[in-house]
Amino acid sequence: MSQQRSNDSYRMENHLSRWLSLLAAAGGAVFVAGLFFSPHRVWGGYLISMQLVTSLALSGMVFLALLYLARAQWAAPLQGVPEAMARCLPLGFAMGILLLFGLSNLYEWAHPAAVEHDPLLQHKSSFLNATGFSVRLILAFLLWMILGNRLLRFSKERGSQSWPFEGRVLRSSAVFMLVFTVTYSVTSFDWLMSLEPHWFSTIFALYQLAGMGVAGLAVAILLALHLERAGPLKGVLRSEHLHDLGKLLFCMSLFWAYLWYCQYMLIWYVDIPEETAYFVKRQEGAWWLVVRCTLILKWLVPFIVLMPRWSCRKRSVLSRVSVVVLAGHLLDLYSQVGPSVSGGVAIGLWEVGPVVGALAAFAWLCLRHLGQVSHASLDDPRLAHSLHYHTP
Amino acid sequence: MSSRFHYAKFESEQDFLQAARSCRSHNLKVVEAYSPYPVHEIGEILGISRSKLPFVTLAGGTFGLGLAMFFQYWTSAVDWPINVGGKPFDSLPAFMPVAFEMLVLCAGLGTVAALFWRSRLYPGKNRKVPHPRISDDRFLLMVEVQDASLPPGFVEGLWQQHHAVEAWTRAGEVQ
Repeated sequence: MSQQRSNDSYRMENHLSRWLSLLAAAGGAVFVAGLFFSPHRVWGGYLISMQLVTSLALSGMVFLALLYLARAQWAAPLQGVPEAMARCLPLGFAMGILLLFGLSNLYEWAHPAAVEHDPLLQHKSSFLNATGFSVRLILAFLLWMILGNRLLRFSKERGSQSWPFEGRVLRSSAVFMLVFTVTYSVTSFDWLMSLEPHWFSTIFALYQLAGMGVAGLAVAILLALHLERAGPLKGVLRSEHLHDLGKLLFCMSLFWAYLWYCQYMLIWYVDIPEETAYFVKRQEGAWWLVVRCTLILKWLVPFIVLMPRWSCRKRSVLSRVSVVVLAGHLLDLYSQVGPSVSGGVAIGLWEVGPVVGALAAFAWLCLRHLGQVSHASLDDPRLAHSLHYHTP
Repeated sequence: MSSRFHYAKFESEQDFLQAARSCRSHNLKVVEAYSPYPVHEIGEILGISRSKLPFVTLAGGTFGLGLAMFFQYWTSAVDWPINVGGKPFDSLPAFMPVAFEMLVLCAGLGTVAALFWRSRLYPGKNRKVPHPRISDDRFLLMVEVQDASLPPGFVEGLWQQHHAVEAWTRAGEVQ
């Protein structure tokens, strides 16, 4: 067994590393160029990519915390994947700090002139102001990184007898989850919901949370499959693991669609102008097409394709569905951000550039981190179960 | 041709599974396997093909969805149109909650009904339990052996090898 597992560390191939850094640099260049040519649209794209990167990193952290809290053994060899994703959080933090310089390009409440003639915005200005936004953003990131780092440190203790389900591991996970749920709700109000400062939706935070879960699982699946192809998980990643990951993706996507419908249905049914304004904007012209495509890519495709048992266990199917779902998540973010930064649907260089760049930077960082942890290490007491369990 | 039923009772899941495996490898016909909780591997070991029950669930769900959609459309848009808050008569978003609930209901009831029908369970059925503790903490294998097809004591030896805590035989037909 030890001979078999001699290559259990991962190394990013040079050409992959070069391509990813090139894409990230190109994305950065597009962003800088956009600041001069089309600041509103490029900041919109930037907000999408910042939300995306932060959510992916956080979903890794949440995945890890949930594995600990559920005393999960099945995912022991895969644990490096959410850990590597979680270690990318500083990238989100850096992007968040930069976002603070673009508030006036994105948010109506950041314009004193607009607030002056708007009683509702005046009323909300004790919460929606640049200082408060910055403090909440920095505080949230610091909390996530401090509490998350405690979780990430535990994996170094793999192999010690008492690990992994000691009280302090469970406590740290629980504390992280509680703090995360509250802070993530607040940041989702700040970053996305306040794009439409007159509008509100009480289910919004949960909706973002579900979307985060969908995107995070899709990326985790792709990374696990990449690790299998590249070596460290070869012969370790079993169909059972894929089946479980696929089922999780399936149910998160269903949960997301459920929340989308809950939000839409209640607003549609009650029909109060201050609430419907949000969806009226998104039902006009091509936006409705974007929303429909989101629903098809993020819910209908995984719902139908991942329903049979065999498709969850098939690598080609699962990886393709993950890519589709990820595209759906991007469209979902775009359908939330786009209508308030540009009049019509405009998916061009200014939107695609920052997103591709941020995704490439995330992938580069994540793959680098994947190379620094050992996968399926033999001293992990949970490995045996993970290699033998059955999924009905 | 007459046959005998050999029963063996096991204390642990491991012994039970191992014994089932060796029965299969010796081409013994395992008629029934009892366990107090679901053991996923046993189906694979005994070569039982995957259950078709999910298709019944799917069919039930589709039926419920279609029925609820049709009925709501028919009542609120065809048979007795009522203007509710100025919304169109055939408002899909309004039909969804009921359609979803009907989907779940029909899928669930259909699955349970199919399970009962397939395993011939009905109210008042008198099921003979080969040993009272199979619903508590013991595992049981039941093997059918044609008379004189095996050397005497062969099955008993196999039971012993796998730490059966009790073994007995019975002649005749399956209950």
